[in-house]
Amino acid sequence: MKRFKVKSILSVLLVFMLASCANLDEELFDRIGKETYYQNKNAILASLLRTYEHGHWYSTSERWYAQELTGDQFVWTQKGRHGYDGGQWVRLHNHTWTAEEATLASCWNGGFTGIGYANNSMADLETLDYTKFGMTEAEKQTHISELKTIRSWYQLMLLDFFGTIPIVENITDLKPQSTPQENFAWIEKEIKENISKLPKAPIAKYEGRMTQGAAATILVRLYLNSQAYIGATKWAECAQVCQDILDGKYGTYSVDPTWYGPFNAQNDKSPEAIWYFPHAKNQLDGNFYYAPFFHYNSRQATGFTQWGEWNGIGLQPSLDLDGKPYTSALGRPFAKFNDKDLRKKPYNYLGNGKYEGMFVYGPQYKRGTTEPVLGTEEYNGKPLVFVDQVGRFSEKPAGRWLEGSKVITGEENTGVRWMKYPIFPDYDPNEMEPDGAEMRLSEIVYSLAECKFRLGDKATAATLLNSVRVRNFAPEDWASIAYTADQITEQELLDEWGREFLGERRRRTDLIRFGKFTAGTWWDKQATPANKKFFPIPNKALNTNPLLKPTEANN
Amino acid sequence: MSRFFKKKGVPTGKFRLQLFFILSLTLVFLFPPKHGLANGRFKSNNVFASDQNGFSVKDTIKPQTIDVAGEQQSSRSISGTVKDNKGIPIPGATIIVKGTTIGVTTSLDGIFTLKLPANAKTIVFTFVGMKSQEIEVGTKATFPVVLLDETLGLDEVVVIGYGSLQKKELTSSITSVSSKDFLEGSANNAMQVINGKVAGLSVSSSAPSDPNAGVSLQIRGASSIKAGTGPLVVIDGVPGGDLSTIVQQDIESISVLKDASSAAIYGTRGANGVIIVTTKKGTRNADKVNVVYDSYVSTMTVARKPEILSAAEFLEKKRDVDLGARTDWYSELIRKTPIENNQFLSVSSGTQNTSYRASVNYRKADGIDIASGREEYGVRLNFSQKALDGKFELIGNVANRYTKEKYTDYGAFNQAMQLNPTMPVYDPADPNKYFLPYGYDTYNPVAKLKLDQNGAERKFLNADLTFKFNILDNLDTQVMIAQQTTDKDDNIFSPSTSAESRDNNRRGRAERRYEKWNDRTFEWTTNYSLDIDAHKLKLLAGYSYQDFTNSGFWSQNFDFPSDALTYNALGEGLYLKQGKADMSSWKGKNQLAAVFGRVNYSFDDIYLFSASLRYEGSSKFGTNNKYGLFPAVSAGWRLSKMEFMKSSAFVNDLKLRAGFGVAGREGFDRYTSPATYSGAGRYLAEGAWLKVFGPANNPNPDLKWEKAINYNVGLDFTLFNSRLSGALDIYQRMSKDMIYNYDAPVPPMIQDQIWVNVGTTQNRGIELNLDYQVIKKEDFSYDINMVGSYNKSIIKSLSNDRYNRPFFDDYGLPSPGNPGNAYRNMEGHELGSFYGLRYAGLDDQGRFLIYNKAGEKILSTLKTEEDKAFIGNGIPKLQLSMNNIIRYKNFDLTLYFRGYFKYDILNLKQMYYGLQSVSNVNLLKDAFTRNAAIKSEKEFSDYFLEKGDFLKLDVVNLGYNLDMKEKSKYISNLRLYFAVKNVFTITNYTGLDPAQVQINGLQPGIEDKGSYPTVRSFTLGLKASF
Repeated sequence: MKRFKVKSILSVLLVFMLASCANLDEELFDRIGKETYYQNKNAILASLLRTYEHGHWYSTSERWYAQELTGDQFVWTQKGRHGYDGGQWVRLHNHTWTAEEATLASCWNGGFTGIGYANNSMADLETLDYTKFGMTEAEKQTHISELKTIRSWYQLMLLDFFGTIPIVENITDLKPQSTPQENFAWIEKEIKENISKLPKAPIAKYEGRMTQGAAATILVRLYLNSQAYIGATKWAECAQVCQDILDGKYGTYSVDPTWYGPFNAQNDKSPEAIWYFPHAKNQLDGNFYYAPFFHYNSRQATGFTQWGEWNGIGLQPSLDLDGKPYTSALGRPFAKFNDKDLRKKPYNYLGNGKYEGMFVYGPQYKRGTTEPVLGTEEYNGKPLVFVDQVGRFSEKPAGRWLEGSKVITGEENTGVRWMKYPIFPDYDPNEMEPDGAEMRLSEIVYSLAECKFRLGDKATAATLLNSVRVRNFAPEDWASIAYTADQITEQELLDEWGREFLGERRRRTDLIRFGKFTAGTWWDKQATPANKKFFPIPNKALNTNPLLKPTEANN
Repeated sequence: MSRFFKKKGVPTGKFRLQLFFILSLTLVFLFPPKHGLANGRFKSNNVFASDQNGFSVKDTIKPQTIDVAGEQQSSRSISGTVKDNKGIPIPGATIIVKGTTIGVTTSLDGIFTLKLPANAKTIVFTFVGMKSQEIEVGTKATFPVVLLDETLGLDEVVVIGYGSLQKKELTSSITSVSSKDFLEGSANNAMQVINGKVAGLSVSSSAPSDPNAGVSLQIRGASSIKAGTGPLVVIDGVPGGDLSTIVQQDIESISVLKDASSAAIYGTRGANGVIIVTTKKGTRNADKVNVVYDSYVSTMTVARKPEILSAAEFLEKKRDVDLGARTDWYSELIRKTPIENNQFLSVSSGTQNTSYRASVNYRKADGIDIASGREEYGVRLNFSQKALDGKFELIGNVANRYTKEKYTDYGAFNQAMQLNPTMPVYDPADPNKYFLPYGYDTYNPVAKLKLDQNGAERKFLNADLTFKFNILDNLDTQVMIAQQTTDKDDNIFSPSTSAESRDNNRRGRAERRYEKWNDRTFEWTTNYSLDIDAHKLKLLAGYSYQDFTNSGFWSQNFDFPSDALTYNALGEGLYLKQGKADMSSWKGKNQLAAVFGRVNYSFDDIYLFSASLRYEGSSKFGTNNKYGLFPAVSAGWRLSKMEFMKSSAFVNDLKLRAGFGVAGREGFDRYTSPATYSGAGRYLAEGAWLKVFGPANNPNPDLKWEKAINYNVGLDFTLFNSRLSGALDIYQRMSKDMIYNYDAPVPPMIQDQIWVNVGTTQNRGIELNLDYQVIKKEDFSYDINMVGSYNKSIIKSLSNDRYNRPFFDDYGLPSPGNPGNAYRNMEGHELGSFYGLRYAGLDDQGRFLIYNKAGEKILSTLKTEEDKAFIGNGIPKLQLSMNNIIRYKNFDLTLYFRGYFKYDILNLKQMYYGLQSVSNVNLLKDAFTRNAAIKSEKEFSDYFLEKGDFLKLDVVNLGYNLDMKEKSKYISNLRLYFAVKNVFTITNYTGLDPAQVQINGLQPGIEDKGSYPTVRSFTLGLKASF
């Protein structure tokens, strides 16, 4: 009887259970469900542009570190108690990274996330009826092509970093790696299929977006560096695309007449701008071009206080501990600039958006005065003077001074600082205006010059390079500085790439193309094994996708 | 066991009637907060007798003859003595005829005489601190009564999930602490009154002297990574309570449900254990209005501060330039005489059908630092009203609380340690202004604490109402509705004179943030009990629905025309005009729905059995896994009642119990499983700026609860004439399907993390509770209460067939230097394991040597990732406490010791301020004494790990009790006490106070660079009952 009763009660309980399953779907308030997201044209554009905004972020963090801090021009030195950061900058400089390296894992994730956003938007947009949103089917096709093009841009960067990567076209299917050849062919195909569907410059509406010129530039980068990817050169193909761009086939561009035109507050209007990440105060920040490079008290010199400073990255030193110039073929970037080069002047804001110089070095003064800016660490209370040397001068002649000139022996004033994008004082109308250059016509000119050089035509190479370089010097100095055909050597070409594109996140790729990345030595970096050409597939990626295989770079 | 089957109860007609009644109602059942369940008793001849004993019932001693109903007694006198179990007479004990106000108290010799009314059936004996006793009068004329001390009573009622049981009936691991065992003295949080009192419950706070700091609670170790490690708090039956809404004087008891055989009744939230707080209630049939005044004042002093270089030493060691002043930064931040004033008054009473209790409290507490403070007041009202002949009962609680909080900045104490002691507090050029230095991580902490305003106002309003229908004497059903709301208004202002304003070239910053939380609960429970001969059966069934909503609004503006506006005129800031002001708002909601049931069965109080089941869903789970099933079973065997033990001279009670249960966790963020789009930064869209939108997460429709599978074996014992009692528990908790924000396969996924159920942790441990009456004499007694727990939490797995990961690192060590992560959580290793370099001495230049992977000594600058190893663990394996209570006449003295053992603390103060190589900043003296030989930069190695083991005299409390019944017409009892907290600590640890290092959660055992001061507090308290 008792058992019967227990059963009865349990069965009543069961009835309850079945009846009481409340609706437990999550109710959304301050966010939007995927199903209800697309309501109007702006929603479409906001989805389409997600991958661009991500691309900006990607290019101003891990991508920059991976391309520049592994090369021979920039270094993030430890500065006393600051900047050791778990040794990551030492490993990037010395090419001793592992498959655990956070920066490199972010390079992988960041690139594929950009591809994911593109794939996701593409899948969404394909299902939409554009006419319902007051748009046309043609616009939809342009959007799809645009997404495919920026996806190729990501794919090429990833190919450049990791060598053997998967090709993914949706956000659900795990994929194994494709061969470098398949990757190369896929990028080439994607660009060729879509380039003609993109708008052609000048088209103001497409500022910051993929145009035919940008798509063609991706192709130039693919061909120029094909040796690294597929073991075969494509100089002629590269030269052809470059020539087509210069001839205006993919839009109207011309070389900027001044060196600062591509970098100043109005650089989006520069005639050589192909694809720039747009920046504007309170909209999209270019604070990366400031924060990692400048000293905590640099704000007193610039009068700009809107972003913080990390006092991290400077140029690699040109001078040794005794003040004597280093003589290595690579590295010593500041010394590689001719003293007459207009860009080598100390940065100085002249007002009204006008400035000179793109480096910060020597004694620092509070803006508009002759009162020195003071240090806060090794030179606490003493004038802050940026030097082109690395060493523990404050401890001389003992202590860590004895460790020499190393990534870990910097001080707060170590290194010439890079200011390609000018910093304007607070409330200056130009404040935070300079856009971030991703593709500009000079790259096409230099790429064509290199192709000509590789194909034996040094004279044309010299002419092409001079067509850009002339803006870097006073007219009276130019005659002695213009290249003649004989002056164009591999070393000179590599140096000139380094000068024109200093800090434009291509140095590693250029060093690889010139065979110098692993074998080359500079400052604190010794020759490293050839497999360091590519980064290892991050353990994170290998752990999460069993279809991925380690590459030679993982050894 | 054959007896068990033979003595089956005989069903009667009434029984069938009840069965029919239950089924036809299809309503089902449930419990009463702390009565009913324990008291329901089937009486065959008086089914509808009204229950008149209500709330006053604590236990019942049944006479040998049950059937007294209908027997009419003539008016007569009875007499007797009331003694304690030592045979000592109890003066002042109350004897009342149940259901009336007729009663007497005992004389000094414990003797009473009482004239009974004609219809008297039962008389009730009560005395403070003793269990009350009810005796049916029968025909006896003399009543020798022995009242037992309440603590040792096996009949003591213990609150469990959705009900209560007598202590002897428990079959799972539950520890209950009643208010008289709370630690007296200043406490920021109600849970600090039971800190160390419950084996396996760890109460930890990294800033116990900050009046606004919360405490972290953890039962039987951490075992979840992302789904929460804290227990569920249930206040007066409402799950999901907030302990900051309750004051210690209002708490009657705290029950801690430690194993899943007791906690699984709370389903998806029971896996970390449950803490059930029961507030004090009014008493029915009270002979008077009880008034209690309970208050204290308290102050504190710094117990220990970091020993840093004085200004003279700083200069002598050439740390930095002499800026002219001589400043003791640490002292500048300390408030000279912080006062806490805590006032409390309660009133309670009751009649036959009504009871109530109302309390009000006020508290104002200064922090030990010059900025923080807290002022709060609240009222709490409890009432219960019976109607319809006791068939209907309305029970309610309403609590309202208002707080005004002023916050400090813990970083200020970091500055106090590292700042140049020759730096002035005030600007030498203008003594009306603070001196504001420049530099990385350098600011004037006095200026910051004095100039910045950072505070909040909070309002709590909690109310619950229970509608209870006593359908039968042993069947009731009740509906509870409850609402808990909190509103918080944060106000932040940094004036134009602050360093922040100067550095950023602006004139002030102000922030407002308004956030509110609203939790609603609906529960319907039905309770049935049946006693037939030796069989006792209790059934519970219930339905529960809860939703939790919060929303908020935040805005920030800069550049104000005047500092006088502070945060009160947000619109006046210039940034708004320039399009740079910030604002945001948010809202979210989640829900839980469940049905549950429980069966308790006991045979002759020898064999005890309990089983429960909860079927519960959470809106946070993925669409494919909304609901989960959480079963539990447990059983107990009271060996002492068996023939072979009955004759034992020293065993009073002995119970063996074992339990199994599965409970869940769902403490992860909302909106992690569905696919949502969220805004990111802005980008240029056809010439105009547009906020871009994209997938916010990697959706996972399979996301489900994390489950903890518990096994518990325990032994409860009362020995040696009830002088020694306690409980021993051995447990294992396997947490499976751990909810974790796992690395996602990118590509093809977009975000690099996805919430999945992966991995297993295992917690194993032993717990012991001992109560020992060492001396028990009339004027002198000495009691010892000891609690010990040993726990080990191991990560069994972090992988499954889809997601695999050998380890994850945690706690990025701070800048300057960012030397990497402190912990590695790895399969096969304990949670909270430090992972770093192994110190191998120094070379002749004072540079760190470490052991490399091969075990060779190398310079630390040559280290690689491979050289790192597991170097220690931050979770104390052993936690011990011992409470000594000595009573002599009217005096009592409490000496409360506690300690943590077998663990390491990473001393970041040593690491960041203990080495000479750190330039410019001030340092610990240790840099020139114990670390003098070290010349190189810090390295994260076991050099900076220290044994955290400590033993602390945590509380000394001297009390004086005065029975005023004879002396005063109004006051019945007075108690005065003086308590000191954190008296002394015995430890080899060189940091501040190891007890102040957080040991709960996933980042245990790290002493921060700049800890908040550790203090010693002094409390003077007065309690009076009227």
